Amino acid sequence: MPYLLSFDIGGTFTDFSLLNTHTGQLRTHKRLTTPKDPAQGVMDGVRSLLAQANVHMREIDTVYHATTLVANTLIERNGATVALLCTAGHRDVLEIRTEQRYDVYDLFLQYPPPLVPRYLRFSVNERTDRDGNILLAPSQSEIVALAEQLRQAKVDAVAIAFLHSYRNPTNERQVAAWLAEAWGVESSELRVESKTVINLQPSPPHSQLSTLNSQLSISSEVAPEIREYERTSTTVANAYVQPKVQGYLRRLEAALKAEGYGGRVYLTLSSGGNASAKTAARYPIRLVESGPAAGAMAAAYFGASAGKRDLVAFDMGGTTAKICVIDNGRPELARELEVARLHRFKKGSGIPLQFPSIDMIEIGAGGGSIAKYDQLGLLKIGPESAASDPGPACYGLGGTQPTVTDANLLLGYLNPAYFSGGQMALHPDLAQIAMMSMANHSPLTPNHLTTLAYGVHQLANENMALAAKIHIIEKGRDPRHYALLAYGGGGPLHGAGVAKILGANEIICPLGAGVGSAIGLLIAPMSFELAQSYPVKWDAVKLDELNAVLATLEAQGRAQLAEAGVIGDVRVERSADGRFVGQLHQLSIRLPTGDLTPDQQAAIQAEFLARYHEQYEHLPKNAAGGHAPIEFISWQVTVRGPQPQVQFARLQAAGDGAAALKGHRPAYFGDHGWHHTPVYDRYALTAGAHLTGPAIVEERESTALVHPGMSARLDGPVTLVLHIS
Amino acid sequence: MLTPLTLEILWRRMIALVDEMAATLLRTSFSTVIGAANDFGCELLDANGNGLAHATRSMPVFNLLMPSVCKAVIQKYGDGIREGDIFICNDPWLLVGHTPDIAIVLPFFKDGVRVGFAASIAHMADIGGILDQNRARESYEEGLFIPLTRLYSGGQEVSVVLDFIHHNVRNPEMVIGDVHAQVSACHVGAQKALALLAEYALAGFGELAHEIHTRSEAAIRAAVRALPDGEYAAAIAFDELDGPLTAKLTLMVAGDQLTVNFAGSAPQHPRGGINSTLSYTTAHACYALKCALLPDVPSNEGCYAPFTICAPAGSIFNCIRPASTMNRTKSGWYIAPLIMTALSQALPKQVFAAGGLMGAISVYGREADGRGFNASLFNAGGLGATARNDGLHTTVFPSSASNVPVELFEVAAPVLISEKELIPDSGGAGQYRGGLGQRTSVRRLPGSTAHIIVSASPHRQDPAPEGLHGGEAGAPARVRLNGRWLTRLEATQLTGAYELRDGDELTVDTAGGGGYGSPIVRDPALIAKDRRDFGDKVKG
Repeated sequence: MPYLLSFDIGGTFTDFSLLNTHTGQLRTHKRLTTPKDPAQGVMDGVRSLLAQANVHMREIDTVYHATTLVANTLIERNGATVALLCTAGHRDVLEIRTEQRYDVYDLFLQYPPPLVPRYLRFSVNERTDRDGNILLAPSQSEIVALAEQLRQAKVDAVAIAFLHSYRNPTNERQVAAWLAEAWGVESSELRVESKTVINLQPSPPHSQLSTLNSQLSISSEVAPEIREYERTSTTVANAYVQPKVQGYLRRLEAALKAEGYGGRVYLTLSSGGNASAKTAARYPIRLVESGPAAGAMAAAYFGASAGKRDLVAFDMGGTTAKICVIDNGRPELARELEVARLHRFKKGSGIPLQFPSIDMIEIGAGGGSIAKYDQLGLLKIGPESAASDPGPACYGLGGTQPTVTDANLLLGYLNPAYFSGGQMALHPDLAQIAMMSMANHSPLTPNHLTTLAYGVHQLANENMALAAKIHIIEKGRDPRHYALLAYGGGGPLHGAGVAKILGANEIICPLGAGVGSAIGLLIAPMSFELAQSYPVKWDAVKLDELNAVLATLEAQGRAQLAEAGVIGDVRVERSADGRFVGQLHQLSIRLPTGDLTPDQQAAIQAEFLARYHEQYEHLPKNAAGGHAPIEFISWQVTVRGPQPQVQFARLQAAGDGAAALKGHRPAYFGDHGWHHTPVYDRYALTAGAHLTGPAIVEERESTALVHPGMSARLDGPVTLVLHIS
Repeated sequence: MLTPLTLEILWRRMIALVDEMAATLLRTSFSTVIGAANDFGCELLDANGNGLAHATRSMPVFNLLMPSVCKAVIQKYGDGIREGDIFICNDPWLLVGHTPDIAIVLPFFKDGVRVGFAASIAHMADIGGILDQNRARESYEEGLFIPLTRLYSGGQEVSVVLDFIHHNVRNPEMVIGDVHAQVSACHVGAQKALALLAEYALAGFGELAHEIHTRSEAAIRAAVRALPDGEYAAAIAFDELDGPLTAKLTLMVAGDQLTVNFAGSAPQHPRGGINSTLSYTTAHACYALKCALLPDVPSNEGCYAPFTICAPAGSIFNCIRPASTMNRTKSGWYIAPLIMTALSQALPKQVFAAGGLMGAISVYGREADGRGFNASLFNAGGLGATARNDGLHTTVFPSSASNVPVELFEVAAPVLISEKELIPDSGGAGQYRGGLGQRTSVRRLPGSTAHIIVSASPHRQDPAPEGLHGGEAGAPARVRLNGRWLTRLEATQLTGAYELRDGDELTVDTAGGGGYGSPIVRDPALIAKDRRDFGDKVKG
């Protein structure tokens, strides 16, 4: 069975790819998403892709899948009716939030309403203290009565988040078990620990995962880390999306089976790793950045196949641009993220989530971003966007405000007759009227109009480059060190401009950038990330106990991979969050694998001090002039299966180099002025083809712009590489 | 010549680099006040000490005062300022009005020429002095006063300064650790600022500063000019320790100039630290004005150019040394609501009703093993409602602090927060309801033998936060000990410093926000939602 099938359900389109692992032949397909029942659109797409390829479902070995279902459920607020069980006296953790304003000058600030309204938040008489001692154990009769209330309230899912449960999960697990029993839910998998837990008791392998079933999300399993608001928020979000995700996965698997598919279905998590459908159903919230994560994995792959492992992945779409740093072939991970923001670009205005996800920044610069002058007389672009409805003025769908796409059209970069492969005609006259409206309707000379449009194009580049630069510099890296991997509809058009500002000298534009994430699904390894709070003063660490904690996490991770069919070749990476005793925030350092020894204890301390110095310059001292004592708070383990080895043949039949030149059109390049610029057909370029800027290369989903003074070549079978000399 | 494009980019880069300063301070600090509650400011200033950019979420009032301290450094040391110098100061009359707020100022140089300052002000967990702040009569009882002096001289630590601090505060490791965190933040800021100048081949911030300041000044002047000329007054009688005190201000608009005069306010108070220094008063007035008049322009010196703030010397808004000032929020936090009330006459829809203000519950003591603890839990009241929306529940204003997670607070001190919940019906009724306050209760951790002193600061016991344009007042703050609600005076006295014993439970209710508009026209759907969540008794 040589075929791998993947699909990524996006907000507007679902992308498909089908790879023959014997020949490397890849087919892609794109169709509109069917939001009401995404499984339906998927099956229609699969059928037509298989029919085109003349492949039967039985010939497919594995199915890979990414979806925006989770993100959309949170943004559109159409998830389950969730009840939250909280420690008595702390019923409003979710609504009290952090009490901080995310914009200190805005008197009209708003927050998204909590996912669980107050009447569905229930107090439970129980309490655990900071050291994990149980001060008050829950009572079964109270929980049984509560189960009845929940039944009457017709809740679909229940989240349980008690104080200090990251330290001792016993009360949460006990309540979950009683609830399951009261409802007659299959609870054979439920496991309750002894009630005498004092310090953290490493749970046996599987237990962290096995107590979750379809209706219960408990915080000590979903996000076992200190800070009750973030942990509760993550747990509630998991419960909120779970019934929908589970129903969807059931329908999808049934539909695939009905068509004759007998293999496994894997889903891409926000961390960029693939996981079994079963794992995804337990931790559906981890799917929240599934599609963008797959896109970043694809970017890493295309970069590596062009010989570049250090990349800035730059994905520019209609309303936003996403930027992600890839070091040594792997996208960087962040430990927490925020979703469903009320103000998309204001940090703090959304729902915080605590688990590893690909560290991506999103800025309000897309083709549809609107240009205007602000109250200081400075040109601004976005974050307001004309989106796809009405869209940029040049779409002729009623948009009147000037956008980045309108500017690109006026500058000659876009072909009015070949936008989206010719599916939509663009109207330069409408773009011109919109652009003039910016100048307060004072008549503009053609020169002014060009200057203005070029200013808009350049500012879009600057905005994106600036965000990327800040993101890279914050990581302590040098932006000039990276190659730019440009994808998405606008990536190849703006890539060269962005790269110039970053000081990067290579821009890689993969073919079929529009379906990149579906390809990313095929090349992501199986992986799972686990974390556990286990505070320990480093000079008093009990290595046996710590090794047991780490071993437990690793065993849990291996069990996840085993469930996904990965048994042998598993790589383990571990890290720890440390700080000087008394601090409130931690710094992450890598740990060696295997049981830690007393020798390594000193090395780990030295590593922490070195990283701290590197990041903050200044080491806090104790009274004696030495450095203050160190403690480690939280421990992370990532288990990862092997990197799938796939070879892609050409995406399309090789063309004839001479036929590639479609014609010429005038395009404007700032200091270089207007140029009679050759336009090439991307599909007709042959491997090794060499172009000299200025040049325009058109494909269906995007247009690559080669500036004067730059060169471009078709590298290998699929990738256009632009060079800045 | 700086193009608008370059200006925009440099401006945003500067904001990003001060945000990095803030992240460094937050992440390397040792106290809950800084590390969890964000009680600090970070700023980048030009060579003359004019503010260029401050961290996005750092304390607005702190940010407004860093230019003063940098200018004081220039005035005092002039040409004696050398590379490798770092200055320290906590003078309440120059800075934020009380001694726990320490400023660290790092001048930085390019080719031997001073091109700017990186500065931060942060609230220390302790600065010594009397524990029961209500009892202080003069500033001498309010802890260590650090005059403007060098903390580093030519790159060398001036150890005597740290020694003085070390021997005068209750938790020296924590406090000195936090001062070092400020130093780290300033180093990071200066380093990144110099890298930015190098990258854009700029000799200094001169032209950039000029552009930012003049453009911002033009925008704020336009906003002031749009106000009808005239006088807008507001007053309140607030009750803290010894009976009602008057806080009064008159806002005078003439063309593009705006003056706030606090004449008519009570004389400075002889005890309890409830006096504001003029610097603190000025910062609060400017902050509230910017929120109402120019919320969207990133804050910098130019945004405040048209404002003149004056208060009679010897009044609670311009107290004279040695007045006590430790609890200056008890007068100073009335400034923003008064400005809003005054402005509501000219801009009825651009302001909000009075809010519940923040309290803080602090616990101090020693664990059985001798380890000291000192932690603060911030707890906000409800915000006032606006012409568009209900007030937010439990949100901090005019400070920009955040709360401290219960779990972090309990790890930091041997206490249990037995309760921290919204108070139903505590928001003032109105077309838009005020935000709810919260109830917070603290007990000893069972089994702990620690000696625990708890203090709290219940703002807005009297009067409760006022409504606006027909909206009703929110519920006032109050304090309960072991089931008995205390009188206002009892509450104020007891929460100065109370020894928490086994079996005690101390409860603080923060106030709810005032409503906006008449409750009669409130949308029935909003009433129904409140009743669903908070019970049938919620007012319509």
